[in-house]
Amino acid sequence: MKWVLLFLRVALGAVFLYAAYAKLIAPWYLFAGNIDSYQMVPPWASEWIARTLPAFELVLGVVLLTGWKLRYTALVSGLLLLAFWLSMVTAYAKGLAIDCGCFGSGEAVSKLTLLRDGALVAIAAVLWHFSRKRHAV
Amino acid sequence: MKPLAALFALAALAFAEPSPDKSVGSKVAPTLIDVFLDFQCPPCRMFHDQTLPDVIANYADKGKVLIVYHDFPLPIHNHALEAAHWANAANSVHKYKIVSDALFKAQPQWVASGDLRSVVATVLSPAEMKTTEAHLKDASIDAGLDKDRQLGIQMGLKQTPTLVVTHKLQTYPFGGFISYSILKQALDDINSK
Repeated sequence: MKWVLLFLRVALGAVFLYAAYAKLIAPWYLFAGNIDSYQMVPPWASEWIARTLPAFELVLGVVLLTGWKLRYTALVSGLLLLAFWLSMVTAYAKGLAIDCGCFGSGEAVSKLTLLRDGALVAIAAVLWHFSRKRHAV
Repeated sequence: MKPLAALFALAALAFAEPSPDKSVGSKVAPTLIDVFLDFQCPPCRMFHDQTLPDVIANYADKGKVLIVYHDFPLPIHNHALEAAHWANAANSVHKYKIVSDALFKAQPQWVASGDLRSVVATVLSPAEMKTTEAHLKDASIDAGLDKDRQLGIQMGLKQTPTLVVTHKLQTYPFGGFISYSILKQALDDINSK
């Protein structure tokens, strides 16, 4: 079990690092445009999220890889991923054919992205659950 | 998008001669914005009504950008192709933009009723309407729509509205609705490069 949890933690950390990298190498306004297309937050919030989220994902990825304070980082990761998932579900239900903005531009919200993000939420939940029982995995 | 397809699409965007009735701004503007719209898509209507007027007033009219309209009717929208036909047929009387405005304005009505003709008739004179109707089935309209569609596919379009901003042969794709405040910052940054 220990190795499974280690694999899940490293995998989740790597996903966050890749997501951050894909956004940071492009101008911030491309990601802001992705957020805008969800039509859930006002433009100033789209800008703020686009300017801050990639750095936050980068920090989360690094901290997940190290395993430091996993109980909290798994919880924060899970809540963040849940917010992404709910946003995508809402957009999908509204019939909006938009970029998910998950790893930069170019990937539409689809059943596959919903499934993938749902799986990541589940991984974060598993990590959070087991990290409550021990200090680090 | 495959690199070769992207290269061809970029060349097509950069060197194509836009129809004066389907473009706004100076042809020598440093930045080109290709706008792909579907008359039946609600985010396209939002973009057309909320974002585009400010882009035209502050960038196109001031010679900073050239906006070129492309029709990209999505197959999921049952009246989108017909609406694109009406707008392009109205191009025969140089009323593409006026008919486009009318179609977006009345989108909820004609989407519900399917009656596009009466919407177009509100902004054209009887003589213009007659000419437009005569051009509805022109093969050139199908060819133009197909050209736009192929260009969109080459650019990797997955949604409407999509804006492809080209500046110094570098492209910046914006998929989905984008508000003016974000697009403004993007255009200012891109134009400063």
